[in-house]
Amino acid sequence: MTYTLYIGRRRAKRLLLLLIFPLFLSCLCGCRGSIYANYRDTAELQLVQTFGLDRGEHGFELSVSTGSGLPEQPTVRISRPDDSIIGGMEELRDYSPKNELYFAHTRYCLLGEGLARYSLAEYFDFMERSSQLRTDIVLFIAKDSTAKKIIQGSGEKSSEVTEGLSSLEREVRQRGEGYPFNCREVIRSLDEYGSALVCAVRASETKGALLTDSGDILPTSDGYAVLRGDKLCGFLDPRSAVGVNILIGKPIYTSITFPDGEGGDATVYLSRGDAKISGAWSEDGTLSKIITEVSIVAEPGELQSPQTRLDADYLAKLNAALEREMTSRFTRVLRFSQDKEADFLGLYGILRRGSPREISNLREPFPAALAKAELVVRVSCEISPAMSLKDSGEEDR
Amino acid sequence: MKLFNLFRPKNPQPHPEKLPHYNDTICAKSLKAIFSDCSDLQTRELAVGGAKTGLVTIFYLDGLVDGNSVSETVVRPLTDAGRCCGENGARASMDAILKGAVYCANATEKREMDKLVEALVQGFTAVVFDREHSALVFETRSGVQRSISEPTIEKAVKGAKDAFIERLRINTMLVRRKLRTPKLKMQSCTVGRESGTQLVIAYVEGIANPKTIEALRLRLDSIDIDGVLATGNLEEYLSDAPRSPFPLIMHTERPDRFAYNLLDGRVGLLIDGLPLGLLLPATFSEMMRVPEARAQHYAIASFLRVLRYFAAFVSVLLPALYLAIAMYHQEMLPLKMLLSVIESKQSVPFSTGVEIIGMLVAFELLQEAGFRLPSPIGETIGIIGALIVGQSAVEAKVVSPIAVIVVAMAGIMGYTVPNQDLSSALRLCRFFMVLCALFGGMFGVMVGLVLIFYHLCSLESFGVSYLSPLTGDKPLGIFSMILSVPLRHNKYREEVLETPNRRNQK
Repeated sequence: MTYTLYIGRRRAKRLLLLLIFPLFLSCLCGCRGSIYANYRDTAELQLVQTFGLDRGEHGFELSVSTGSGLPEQPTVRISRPDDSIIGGMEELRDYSPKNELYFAHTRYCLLGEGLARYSLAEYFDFMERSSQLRTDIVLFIAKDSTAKKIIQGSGEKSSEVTEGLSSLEREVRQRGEGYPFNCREVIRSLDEYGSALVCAVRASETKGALLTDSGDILPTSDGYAVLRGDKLCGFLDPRSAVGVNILIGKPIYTSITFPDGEGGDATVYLSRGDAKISGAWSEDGTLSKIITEVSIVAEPGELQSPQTRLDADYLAKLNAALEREMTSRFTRVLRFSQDKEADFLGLYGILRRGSPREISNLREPFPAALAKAELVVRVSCEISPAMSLKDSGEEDR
Repeated sequence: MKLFNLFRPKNPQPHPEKLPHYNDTICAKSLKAIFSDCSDLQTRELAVGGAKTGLVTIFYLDGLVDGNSVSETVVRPLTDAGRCCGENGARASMDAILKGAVYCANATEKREMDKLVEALVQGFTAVVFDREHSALVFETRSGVQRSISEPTIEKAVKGAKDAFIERLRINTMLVRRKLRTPKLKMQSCTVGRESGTQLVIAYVEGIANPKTIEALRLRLDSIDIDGVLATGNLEEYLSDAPRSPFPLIMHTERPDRFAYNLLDGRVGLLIDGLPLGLLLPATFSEMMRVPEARAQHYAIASFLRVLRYFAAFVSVLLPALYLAIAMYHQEMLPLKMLLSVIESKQSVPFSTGVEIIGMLVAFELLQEAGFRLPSPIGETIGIIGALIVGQSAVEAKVVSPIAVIVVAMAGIMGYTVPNQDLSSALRLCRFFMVLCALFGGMFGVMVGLVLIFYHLCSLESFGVSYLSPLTGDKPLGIFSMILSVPLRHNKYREEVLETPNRRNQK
């Protein structure tokens, strides 16, 4: 039996619609011709996990590390200068005839201090537009160093830079000596307050300190780097970082050591810190005072003064000493913010929630108003021996 | 989908059929001529009531009739002088027989050769009166049959253990036992010129939609084929979209499920020679129900149904998604998973596309081989295929372990679909989606999904949307599609079935 192609008018219309439909969708989603360009052989992918950026002679210097992912693949650490970030990435991508660097899974971005002090505007612009990198990449700024030095100087396996940054991220998050802000949070803070915090790292020499056979450098936490208007304007040391975390409401569980007022040092664990920030306004509408009230709960850790048990007098002295210590830290952070006219604590947002009318009537930019305001810091500390076996009397039982 | 309806035969020849098939006057000689070379035809001349002049010829097909029954209920009273008297003429004898001289319960007179032949092949015994050009037929069908056994496909722990068999009357009896009401109507008809297959349209009067019954009857009447020996022969003619791979008619081997669906307002069809009952209209959601669902607690039944929908969805999409992500969208995988994918792909010589398509084809071949072989050997094939060949292929680095896992997961999840025809359609969709992913990545997957849903939305079974109640005007239709409610709150039959009486309980 012979067959001929028969298409009725209605059926032809439907067929045509079905053929046009995918093409129409492709126009909507912008996938024209880019599907096949996106093809990659999975087996040949080398996943970049740490991305470094420094200021180069002609623009940027990109450094990447693929991390210690697969046993069969050696860690790739390479650097390349280029006029633009994208250009550098394209150059790096085909570094080898066999393997291809893949940037979509980058976890950490390390920025050199030189570039940060010069300008990060182009970097943030690139990150906001990039379809290759995610915006939840955790940012670090290399204090007194370059990203290239830390990436190239790290070792293999557990001393590799990605592993180092990964453990550092966990550590600062748990201990409260900083906070690993990601790119999206930094950009948002810059947009809202004109200033942002980035976790600072230092290139630490590890020779003889670690049981590794290669690598001399490992990134270690070093407080916060403060950005103002796309540029690095200073660093906050790790001691101040604890104060910052309490003021911005990030979790803390860290130990601090301070003079106990009896001639020795005391170490306590900070278990909770609540900050309440408000503003006082003068009659002409200017911000006269920034009032910061902080309540801290701590547990005794290590006391150098010979005390068999915490008595009430010693506890009162200890509380007073902790209050002095924390007041100085908070004041230092707030003073830094005033000096640099950088609202990295997000005070504008806090005051706007409490006094929206006064904030909207401000005659000058908030950072300038902040710089002129008087600082009032009130700290109340409660060192509770409840968790101490010795001091809570558990020992007797 | 009408898209596939592109080819039509040029100058289709009409099927030649002349009716009636046999136009002769009824007599023993012409009946023998019709059944010439049929060794199973048995004939015997008898004298009615022992008279010398009243000779008749008795005909039956050996095997189709019960010999004892012929002897006891036809031959014996026919030759008994006290009951039948041949001396009074053939007409008088026939009248006497029809009035009860012969014991057989079912006795009718046939005056047309066509009807007589049909009765003979149905298992009746014919007594031909040459002088009257007429015959009397007695129902003496053989009782030889397969015993009622447990369902082999639709097994249920908490449910009846009987299943349909090949005998139509037994099947109607099984249904009648579940629904002991005169409202259960069973209309007979015959389809197939040569097979003469008997069918029964079953429905509950006052519950089934009369339009559906009428539509079914019309479609059955319009079927004019040589034989109906498999459900497929009928389904293609009854289906609204015969080119669609999705089944538009449900079938069940369980009389209880058949009866439940009749009570829901569906119309059933029983076919002589097939141990199945067909149900219509069919919907996707009804096919995703298992027979045991009505015996389970509604929460458990709902949970299992959600699982089945999830499994069906994953079964269709998993290989395609893996292919699209592994080839085009590696950024969608979490880092650690991507690392393990890369590790598994090291040293494998084939691309991901070849790997997945090859594994899918191998899986289907193993499945096909397992089905075709006797069950002990079939199981062995499964073990050899899945364990030995699969493991060896992975160890030889011919395929990556993750490809084996993806294909095996998709295959296993496909088995959770209760309806075999639907499961087969989904297997076809799986291949289609893989090809879409291969050529278009995630974009292709989306286009493929849209096309499949477009097709599903365009399907209807006897006027009922295939995806109902999802496609209805009720926004919560999806919940009634995938969730069960306590029986005391489920007081109405499905709206889409347009039953005259929607309420099913007080």
